[in-house]
Formats: sequence, structure tokens, C-alpha cells
Amino acid sequence: MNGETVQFTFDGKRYTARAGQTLAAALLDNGVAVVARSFKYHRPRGIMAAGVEEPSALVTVGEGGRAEPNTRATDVFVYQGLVARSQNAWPSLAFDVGAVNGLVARLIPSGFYYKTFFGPPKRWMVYERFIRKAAGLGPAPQQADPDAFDHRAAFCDLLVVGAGPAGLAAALGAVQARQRVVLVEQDRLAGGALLREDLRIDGAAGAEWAQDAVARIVAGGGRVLLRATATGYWDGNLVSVVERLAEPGQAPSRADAPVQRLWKVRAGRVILATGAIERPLAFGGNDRPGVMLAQAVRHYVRRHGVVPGRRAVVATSNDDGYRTAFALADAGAQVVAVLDSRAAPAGPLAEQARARFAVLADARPIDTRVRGKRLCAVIAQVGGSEQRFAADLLAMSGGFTPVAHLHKQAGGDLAWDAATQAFVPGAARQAQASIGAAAGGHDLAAILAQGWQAGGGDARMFAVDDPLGMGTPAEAATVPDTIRGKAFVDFQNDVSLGDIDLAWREGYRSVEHLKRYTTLGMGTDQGKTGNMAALGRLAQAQGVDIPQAGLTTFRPPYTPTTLGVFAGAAVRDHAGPVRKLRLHAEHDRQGAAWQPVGYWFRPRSYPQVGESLGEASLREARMVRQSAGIVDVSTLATFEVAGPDAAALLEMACATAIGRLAVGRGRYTVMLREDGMVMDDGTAWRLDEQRYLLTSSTGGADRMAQHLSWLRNVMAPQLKASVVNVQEHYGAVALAGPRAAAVLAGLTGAAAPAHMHCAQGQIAGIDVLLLAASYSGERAFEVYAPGHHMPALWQALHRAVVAAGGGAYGLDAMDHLRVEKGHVVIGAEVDGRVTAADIGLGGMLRKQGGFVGWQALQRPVLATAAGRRHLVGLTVLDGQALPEGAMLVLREGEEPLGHVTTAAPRVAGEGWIGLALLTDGASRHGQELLAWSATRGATVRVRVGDPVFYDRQGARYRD
Amino acid sequence: MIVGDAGDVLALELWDGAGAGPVAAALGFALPTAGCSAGDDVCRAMRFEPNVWLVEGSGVDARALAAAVAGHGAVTAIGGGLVRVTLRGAAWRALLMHDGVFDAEDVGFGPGRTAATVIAHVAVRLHVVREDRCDALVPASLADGLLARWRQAAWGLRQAQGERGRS
Repeated sequence: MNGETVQFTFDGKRYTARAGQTLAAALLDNGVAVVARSFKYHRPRGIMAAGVEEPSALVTVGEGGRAEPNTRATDVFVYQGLVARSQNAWPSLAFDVGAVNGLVARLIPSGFYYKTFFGPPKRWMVYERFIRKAAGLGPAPQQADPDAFDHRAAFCDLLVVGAGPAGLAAALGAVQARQRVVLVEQDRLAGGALLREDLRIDGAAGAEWAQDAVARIVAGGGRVLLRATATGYWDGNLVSVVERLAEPGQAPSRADAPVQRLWKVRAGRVILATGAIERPLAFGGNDRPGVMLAQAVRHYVRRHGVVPGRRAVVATSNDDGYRTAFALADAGAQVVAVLDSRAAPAGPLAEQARARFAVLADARPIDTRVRGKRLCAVIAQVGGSEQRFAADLLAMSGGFTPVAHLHKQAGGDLAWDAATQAFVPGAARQAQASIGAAAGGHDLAAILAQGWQAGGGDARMFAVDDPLGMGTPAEAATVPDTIRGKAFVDFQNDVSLGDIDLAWREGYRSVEHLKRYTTLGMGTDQGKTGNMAALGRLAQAQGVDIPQAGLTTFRPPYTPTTLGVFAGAAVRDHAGPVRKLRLHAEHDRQGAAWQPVGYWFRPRSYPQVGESLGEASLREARMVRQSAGIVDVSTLATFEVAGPDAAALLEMACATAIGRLAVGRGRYTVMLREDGMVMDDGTAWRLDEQRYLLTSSTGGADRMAQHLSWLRNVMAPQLKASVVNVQEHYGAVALAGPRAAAVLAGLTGAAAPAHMHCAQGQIAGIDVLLLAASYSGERAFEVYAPGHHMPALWQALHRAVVAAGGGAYGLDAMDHLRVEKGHVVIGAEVDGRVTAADIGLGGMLRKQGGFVGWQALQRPVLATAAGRRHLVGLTVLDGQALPEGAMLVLREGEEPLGHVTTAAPRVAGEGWIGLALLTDGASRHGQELLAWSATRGATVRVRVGDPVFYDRQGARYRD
Repeated sequence: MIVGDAGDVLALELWDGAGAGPVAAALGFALPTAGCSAGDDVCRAMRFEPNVWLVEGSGVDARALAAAVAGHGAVTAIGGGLVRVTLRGAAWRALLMHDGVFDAEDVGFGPGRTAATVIAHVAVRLHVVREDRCDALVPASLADGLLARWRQAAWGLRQAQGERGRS
């Protein structure tokens, strides 16, 4: 830390922090004892831990859409202007009405929810209001998150998770072995335990040695990510790492700069040096502000220069707790007593402690007292008697739990270490190993050597100078016989030893059931501090060892992760990539109203001033019927199929006759799935002897590309035919209307090709491919050109159609025109459940078969039309708009006979028409039905008829 | 970062090995192996798929190439659908790792190497021209979004570089 200070607020009050302090350190430094209220009983809570395991000190950080609820005060570094608020308290943190829950705690024990909220379903409408209000801690922000997030890949020979002494040594060893190394550390400083210990490695203070190690790793080509948490370990040695580029609630340096980055690290090997988490002790009032984990106290004293209390009691089950007593005493605090639960603590640490403090063996806290809301006394059982110690700080250590989360996520086993009463990583399933405290290690020199060798370094030893000497392996605490009040094991969810005992009495034997009944380990901390104590209690009740009691599942993420970081850049408008037309800017200039179509954005219409979208589309459609219009159809799927076997390949894909097409001719076609249902439709054109162009629908483009690839590579690899997806290569504009042929002839200087003929030509100096096909019912052409020529081509076409009395039209007008002409669209009339016969195209299929889906069509159920839904036209009889999706019924409430697939206003006439799929529809022409939409509250009378409403003979699109 | 139309790019597919000789004669060099390129800016072939090469450059005679592969393969123009993004500078490798799944930081991916990968959901074809230059062929419809992402990531890389320089 340097001498810089920053200002922040907590619950509206201004405070000063020293740069580099966590919010927790800064609050302790400013004497703020109570920072949160617990979930269920609203008990006042302070800061218990110093890392991501903190269960109690949850606050909301940031403002507006950037607010981040349930942030651990121990896991946010204070920045200038930080705004933090307490949560789950009303009207204030000091006076919280919800604390009444604590007074009626006997009425709301573990599982009360299941015992109370039952009965008729409609009662839930009442319960739900209260349950929702009580649920959760900090409220989620209502505004959209303004921040950006990033994704990045990384590959390495070795990924080291955790930059404590073991991880640093491993990364150093790997760098020496010239491996590609990535080292990730969730803290903003490397060093881990070294940051809280007073010792030297190779002659340097621990924290300085860590800094120097990072510099050497980077100089050796390694990548070190600080403030980066490995949150998930997946198959194939893929580890997800979330890197914080800004602190929670902090605005980034530039508006669109990412605040978090999700790294997807694919590693040859992974070393997990994730350390261990200290366990709290179970005793009455162990959640009170002023009761803290011993290592956390040491962390605040040594790293942040904050002494959390002036009169301290240290309660421990192991040697490590003594280190905290020394740290506190060295910082000027009075250590009132060291309570050691062991019968005869021995070794250098205990010996040195006896020289400075009152060390009491066979001693453990059983209760606490508070003044205001802050600890003022500790009641302890010492041997057979009770003693009271006046203290404002209780530093507790109940043993250690190796952090094996990632090891388990990777499929590894756990082994039980009876000496430390802890699970340690066992056999690994992937190329990974756990080292250091994560593997149960406690001797620093041995840990450093282990890390160095695990990283791949040559044999070497690190010189460790620990003035206190090495302690014995940590022993876990046992629960005292006498407990007064609530002894919490899961501090975040207010689960006490009593709750676990109750669950046992009520018959919950499995740890998984216990977890769900009591909510143990289900908070944002996922039971990091509490699960082992609870397991111990369950095992005690079962009369078995902890391993026999079972374990719950370790699931990613290891720490709470912002949803935005999973989305990365794929947020807001489209939550995915946006596909833009080559003519996007042209359409924009002409005032297009945009319509998302899959990933594409297409012009829906070009409304004039004062015109609604409906009015615009109807005007545009009538313009096409009367003169000429152009529409951008560049999104159509387009494939070039070339080679001596091109026709044979197309005949497999297409159900209509393609092979006999003459050069320069085209044909409408349909493509079927293997089950005989229509998959897509389009046109096939023979461009020269061995080259065809196949078009199909926009929405089915990717599916069709996959289908053709499957046919080419799996079904007929012997064919000499190439299939190239040229959807992006070509842009296309459809020119339609009674004046279209004249417009085209004027532009190309040649006669327009006849219907279903194709030709090459030039427009405005651009080579174009002309396909004479109609989707509108009018004489029409599709004009194709390479994408980069499209703006010039569009401008030429637009000038010409405007001169002919026409203009541009959009998707809605195109839809009105095709409905009137009775053309189907993939996704509406073709919904994956219809055959070609169902939509009136059965006669087009090749009788001799040979195409995908033909065998399926021979099945009796598909060979007959009776009982199937057929495409029909609907004419509205009472002048109303026809609701799309409406059910077709004889009377409201009756079983539907079919549904309206598309509805549109008449272009050439008045009123509404529609297309529908109707059971036995072919035999219902003339019948009157109701189009009934219960969801829209609309019922419309319709008459069933032929689906073609306009120019049944097709005279208008032929010359 | 320089952005422009890809120009004339041909997809050359061969169905059998017999086509390789005539193609080499037409191009003036042998077709490259998988993940590699051959030729130069005037005429270059790049292999991204088992049987498909992309051929580009002002010196490419499309008709001659089509004639050379007759009966053994096909040539199809695809350049109209591609945007060429030229990435210059030492940081192009780091840039391609953003929203990517391909190890562009592998030193083995050097000049003369090609790769087809997905970046930010977009299918991208990469060609390392020089140690400090990598060309990317990007589908035109998706180019705007990808370029915006790359500009944002490039800014971040410059920032990070600046911070390293200051520290």
C-alpha cells in the first residue's frame, strides 16, 4: 500500500480508505462493525473472512444498472467514488424491522416453509407475494447493465490456478522448463498466504518474493492474470477464468471497454494451487460482529494495516491460530487469552505463545456477549469450568478445508485425511494435480519444492526463514458439549447446528436432502465455510465418519459470476451476430423500417411521412400490382452446383424434375426431409452444361447448406459435383410488376427473359444474372450480381422503377402479394408437418422417385390425402382483420380443425384473406368456419376456398 | 486494420488427385498442403478444407483455371461475399484470441499458414502473410459486427500495452 487515499460511501456516509484496501478492510479501518443483516433472522453481521469465502458481509456496490448486489465486501477493492449499500434491512441497518424474525425463531425453524405453505393451489397466489418479498438479499438492478464484457481464448502447456507460494513456485518451475504458462489469481496481488505472514523466502520478505516471482514468470514468457478467478473446470482441460478489469460497480475507463473478461483456457496440464479455507468454530453467537476467522484477522493486520479489535481472544484447534495472536500483539492489540481446544498443545508456536499470552488448554468458546451490536465478551469452557473474557475481537480457527472445488469439477475423487479431518484431492480424471494447502500441505518449504517440481523445474530447494517455526498439521475442532443460543454453521442462510439436528430428527438422512431441507450451502458462498461443520454434525448423528455421511456436488461457478460475462459481446439488440445486407445503407437512406429475420435485418417497408407500417406495405404492394417495384432478396439461400454429376446431385435433393432442364431454363422445386415432409422450396436454374444455381428460403439457408453437404459428402461421395454456398457472394434484387419487363429491357438493352428462363446481362456496367421467376404473381425477375456491386445495381434499378411509376417495397408488401397469389412460405404454411401433396404440390414430384423423402412418401399414411391438413385459402366474411395463428373451428371452444398460417389485406380488392392448414381442407371449399383466437379475443367468420386468390391461370407473369 | 472488398476469390474444388498437375501448371506452382498457402500477392492459393483451395490475385486467369480442372474439379467465384481485413502489427495474434477458439498465439502459426475458424460466431479464414500481418476473409454480412468487436478489442490491447509501458 502506498499513502494514497480514496473516498467511498457506505449507506450514504462518506469514508476514507487507503488505496489497495478491500471494502471490508476499509470498513474495519473506519470502525464499522455491522455491515449486513443475515438472510432469515436479520441478525446484525460484521466481517468474518478476508476472501471469497466471506458468508456474511454482503453489500450492494455501484448504482443504477451497474449496481451489483450480494457483493462480498472482502472481494471488492475500494476505488474513488465507490458507493456501497447494506441490504436486507429496513428501514436501516442499525434498526431493522426484519430482526423480529429472530424473536420468533422458534416458529420459523428449518423447513418451516414446507410445513407452512401448503394447501389448495390458489392459496399460493397469497403466499407467493410474501415469499417473493422475503426472498433474496440485495435487489437486482432494474436498469439495463451498461457495461461491456469480453471473451478471450488462451492455450498453454500449463495452467496454474492460484498465485500463492505453491502456485508461484509451480509457474516458476514451468517457465524454467520453457513451457507456455498461464497463472491466474483471484486477488489483485500475488502471494496468497505470504501476504499475511511474517517470514522470508530466499532472503526476501514473503510478499516481495511473490512480486519478484511474478516478474520472473512474465520475463520468462508466462502470462499472469491477477483479479482472475478460475470458475469452472470442464472436459478436455478447459478452464473458464473470469478476469475483473474493473471492480464491481466501477465504471470502466471508456464507455465500451469491458469490465470483465471470460478466458477460456485450454491447457495441456492444470495445477491447482487453490489453498485452503479456514473453518469457523461452532458456539453460541458465533456470528456476532467482532467474531472473525483467525487467518482473516492476520490478513487485515499484516496486509491492510488494520487491527480489527483492541482486546482479542484467539480460539483455535490448531497451531496456526497462534500466528494470529502474535500478529495482533505485534500490532499493539491486547491478546486477552488463547483458547486452545487441544488437551496439551505443544511445539514451538505454543511454547512461544505461553511466554507472551495466557494460553489455556482444553478451552473453547461456548457463548458471546454484545454491547450494542458489537462483541464485548466471550464465555468459554476451560476444562470443567466457565470463564468470561472481556474482548471486542474473537479470532477463531477450527481447522482448514482444502479448496478442492475445481478438482471435483474436473471429475477427480476426494480422499479423507483423518489427521486434519478434511477431504483432500484424490485421484484425478484429467491432466491435473493439486499442490500446496489445496492438497493438505502445511510446511512452506515443502510446498515450494513441491510446486517447483510439479511445474517441471529441476530439483531445488527454497530457503524459508520463519521466525515462529513450523507448526503441526492443523487439527479440526470438535463441537463443545455445551452450546448456548444459536451456533451457526452456514452463516449466510442462518443454518445452525440446531437446524441440522432438527432435520435429522425429522428423518432427513441423506446429505443431499439435508442440504435442500435446511438450505445449507445454498447461498452465494455455496457453503465454503460451513459445509464441513454440517457434515461433521450429520456424521455424528449417524454414528459414522464424515466420508460415510456423503458429500454434496461441487458445481461451477466457484464464485458468483455476472451473467453478462457469459454473454460477452452478444448482448442487447440481437444477443448474437447481426447480418447486414450489402444494401443496408441504401435502404436506410430510403427510410426503411427494419425487421429482424433470423440474424438478418431486412426492410419491412419504406413508410412515407404520416403513414403507418400497414398503410405503407399496402401502398407498396399495390404499386407492384399496378407498375413495378424492387425488393432486396439477397438473403435467399443460393448454391452453385457444378460438375458432370451436378444434375444427379440436384435430383437427390430436389423432388421435382431437374435433370431434363435445358441450359437457360429454371424450375420451381421442393426439397423433402427423409420422412417425406417438405423441408424447403426454391428454384433450380441451369446456367450451363455442368453448372446450376439452386435457391431456397432465407430462413432455411443454413439447414439447406447442411443438407446439401450431407448429400454430397455422405450419401453420394462418388459424385463429381461441387456444391458452393454463394449466398454471400451474390446480392439479389427482385423486380416485379406489369412494367418490370420493360424496365429491365430498358436497363439491359435486351429483351427480358421469358418466365422461368435465365440470361446474362449488364446493368450500369455490372455483369448480372437474370432469373425470370415470380413470387408476387406479376411478371418478375431476380437480378443477381456479386455483392460488392450491389449498391450501384440497386441505384440503377431504383431510378428505373421510379421513372416507371414504382419504387422499393419491403417484406410486408412481399408477404401480401404472395398470400394473394397462394404461395407458401417456409415456417408458416410449411411447418415441418406437411407433405408436398398437403400444400397442393404433389403433382410436381417425380413419379419414379430417386429423391430424399420419396421412400417415406410410399407409406400408406402419407399416400392418402384423407384426414390430413391441406392448404386452403380463407376469405373473411365480416370485414374484420384475420388474426394469424387463429384456430379454425365450427363453433368457439370446439376442437380445432386447423389454423390460420398467414393473413393479409387484399391487394387487388378490399377486405382480408388468409392461408390456412385445414383438416380435409380440399373437400371443405365453400364451407364457413370461425377463425377463433382465444388469446387475442377475436373471432372472425371465414369462407374456405382455393388458396390462389389472384390470376389463377398465371397469365400475368407470362409474356 | 485495413478493410476492403476481397476482390476476385475463387473456390477451387478437386475430386481426384489427377487435377493437381494441370492446376499447378495453370497457377505456376503446386497447390499447398492443408493449413498452408502458396504463391504471392499476384496469384495465391490457400488451403482451408480437405479438397478446396481459395485462389486469388490479379494474376489469376479464372477461365484457364476452370479449363485446367475440367473433369477433376470445379471453380466457383465467391469473392463477392467476402471482406478482406488486413491486420497489421505485432498484436494481431492477441486480437484474434478475442471471441475466438483458435490458438493464434501458437508460434507455429506463422507466415504461409492458413486456418479456418470461428470468431465471435463468424466463420473467418485466416492467412498469415508476414510475421506482422495476417489477412482475414470475413463474410460480408457479418463484417460490420466483427470489425466493431475487433476495434474494441484493439483499443483494449493498446491500453494494456500502454499500461505495461508505463509500469
